[in-house]
Amino acid sequence: MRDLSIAQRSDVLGSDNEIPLTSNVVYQTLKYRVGSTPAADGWAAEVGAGMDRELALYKWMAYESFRNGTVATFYPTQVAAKMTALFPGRTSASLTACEKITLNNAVWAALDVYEQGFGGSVVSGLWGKVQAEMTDAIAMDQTTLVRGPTGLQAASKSATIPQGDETIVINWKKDIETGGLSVSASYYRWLAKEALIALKGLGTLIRLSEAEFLFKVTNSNKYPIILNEVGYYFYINSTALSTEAVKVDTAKTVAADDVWVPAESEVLLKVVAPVKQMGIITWLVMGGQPTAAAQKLAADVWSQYKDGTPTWIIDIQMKVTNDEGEDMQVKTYTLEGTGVA
Amino acid sequence: MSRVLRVAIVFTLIAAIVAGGLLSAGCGGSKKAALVAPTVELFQYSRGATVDFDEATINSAASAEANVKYGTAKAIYHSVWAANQETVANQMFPAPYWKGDGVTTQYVMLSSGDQTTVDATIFATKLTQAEQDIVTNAVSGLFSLYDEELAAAKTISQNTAYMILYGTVSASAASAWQTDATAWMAALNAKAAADYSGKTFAQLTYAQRQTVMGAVFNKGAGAINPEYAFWRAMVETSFRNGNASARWPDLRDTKVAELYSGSTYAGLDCTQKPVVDAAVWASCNQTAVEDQITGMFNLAEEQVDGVMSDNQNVYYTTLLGLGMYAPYLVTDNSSPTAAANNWLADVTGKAHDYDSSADFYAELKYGQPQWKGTLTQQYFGTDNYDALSTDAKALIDQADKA
Repeated sequence: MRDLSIAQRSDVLGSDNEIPLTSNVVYQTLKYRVGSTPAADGWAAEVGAGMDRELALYKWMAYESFRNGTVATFYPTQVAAKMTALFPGRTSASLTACEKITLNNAVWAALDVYEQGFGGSVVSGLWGKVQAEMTDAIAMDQTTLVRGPTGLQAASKSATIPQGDETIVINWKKDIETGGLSVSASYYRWLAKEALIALKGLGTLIRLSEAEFLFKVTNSNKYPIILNEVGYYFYINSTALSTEAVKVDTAKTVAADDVWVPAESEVLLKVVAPVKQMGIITWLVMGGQPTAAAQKLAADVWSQYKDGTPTWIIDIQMKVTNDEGEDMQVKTYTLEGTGVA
Repeated sequence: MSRVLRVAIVFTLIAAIVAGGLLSAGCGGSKKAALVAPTVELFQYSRGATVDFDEATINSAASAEANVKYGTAKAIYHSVWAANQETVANQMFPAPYWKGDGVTTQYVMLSSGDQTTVDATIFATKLTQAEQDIVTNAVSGLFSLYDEELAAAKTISQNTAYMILYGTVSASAASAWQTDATAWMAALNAKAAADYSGKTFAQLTYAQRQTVMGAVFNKGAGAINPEYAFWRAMVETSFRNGNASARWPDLRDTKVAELYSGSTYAGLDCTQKPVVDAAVWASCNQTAVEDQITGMFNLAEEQVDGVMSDNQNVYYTTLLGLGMYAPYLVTDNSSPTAAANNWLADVTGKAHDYDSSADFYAELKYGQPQWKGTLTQQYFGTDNYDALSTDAKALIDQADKA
């Protein structure tokens, strides 16, 4: 009664005359009767945040044992190690209820702080399932998967998507309902897709391909000839800026090896040329085009290229000699066509 | 033609032929026809695969499945990652491909994609199959909750919490939770209907449901929610029984002797003690135990709540009651309020933690022993404190103090 009398004469928490929660009779009960300072501290934290004292007491009387038993199921390696250490020669099935508690406590104590944090989240996550089981069907876009604290919308927030934006949710739902994706596939897509969309502005850095050409070279001489230092310059005309076509450097390559063409014969030369939009832009800028115009022309050329049937303008420069390396001629050919039969 | 002439002609011809041949052999290379440039034509063109940041490319690249899987694995098995991530990262990105401080590879310095590669290796080589399965199941849990939310409500007796209580505590604990859970859902639906134009709880948005649940529970001041109902169902009975056992240590020892002959209460294990506690509860003054528990929460409340005026203090009200109904038990019975007011005068102006118990005992005709006798009467139905066992005396001393 003395303590009660003192308590009644004391002021609220936070004042000079306060009785700290660590001196509260419930805190002391948890600490000394239940025997757990963490439980007592857990109670104090909850009560300090306004939770009902009695309900918090019941929670912290039960919580640690329940949590440890639940968490142990996630750590079979640690369970096996602690079984060996604490109950050598025994099987877990043979343990008494009290021994299982001892085992679970030992497993919990062996986890690092992050793993213990995960263990706490497992227990707190249980109540969402319990609530869902007693609640009738809710709308798919109002589920925890989408709206929960770590749900799709919260997890995928970025600088490009403002708070409260529904784009991701709408698209996630659309991909399920009309796109043929499963819930999980659409979830995984939209968890990552926003970040990729944010990179779309860098698309010009990423657009690339390889164009493959076959050139037929015919040697009418009665002796073999040698082609060397063959340079290939590929262009596509663009009218992206005006009706007047701009001849845009699209790809370039040089063959360093000599090519023998037999007498009175023909050969097919295979040339693979890299097409890179960033390279196209660079060449245009170096050729005097303003950056914006260069980007526009490059995008148009890339579009023609990607559509598959551009009209190519090709300059080929080469040195030609006879088979003894004599009679050298420097030739430039200009070809035009789609290369499609 | 003489034979000599014929031979001379033959030699001349041979010489001419040989000379012609020699001449021919000596000037032949420089006589090759002039080179005619070859013709070149475009024979065929084909476009290779394109890498473009279009919708199709983004969709093929956008899948966080691996990140979710390995992120979950890292959360569950953080110590495995802590022990292995640098080693594995260095194995996968050895010299001269270091990605770190220039002399080693550091996990944190890897790109997201490279980290995922390291994570995948750790997952596959450092976790047991059982641990890998646990991770997979944990990820699946994301979607099983989704399925649960989209399904109609189960009956309460099929609920996970109910089944845990039924299987690990008791049928009555499960039943108690069922009652609370049913009331909880009724309260949620009522609140939803009241605040959201007649909607059911399930018809609300996620945010609205959180608001409703928070308001209905109100940190324990409203309807008890399924979580706290679960905790309460788990321990409320054992807590009550434990209090009964602590209140009557002599009865407890008797029950120990009956149930576990040869043992002491302290020597019982975690399953035996609750059996004894329950036996004590079954044969004790249950109202007294319930009052004791209520008293504990009252004390807890007083310790937290704001200051109460001294004329509402437990010592004051006790002396006031004695002065009014049993004035022969107080020293100063000049008026019904005299003893209480004497105590009040003693404590007025004293610090909040001033121990006024001596002032209280001074107002009792027989001092502290009288008060302990009163408590002994309440607890054990006799006022003879001195006749109590040591444990029982300790209990009365504690009640006097607390």
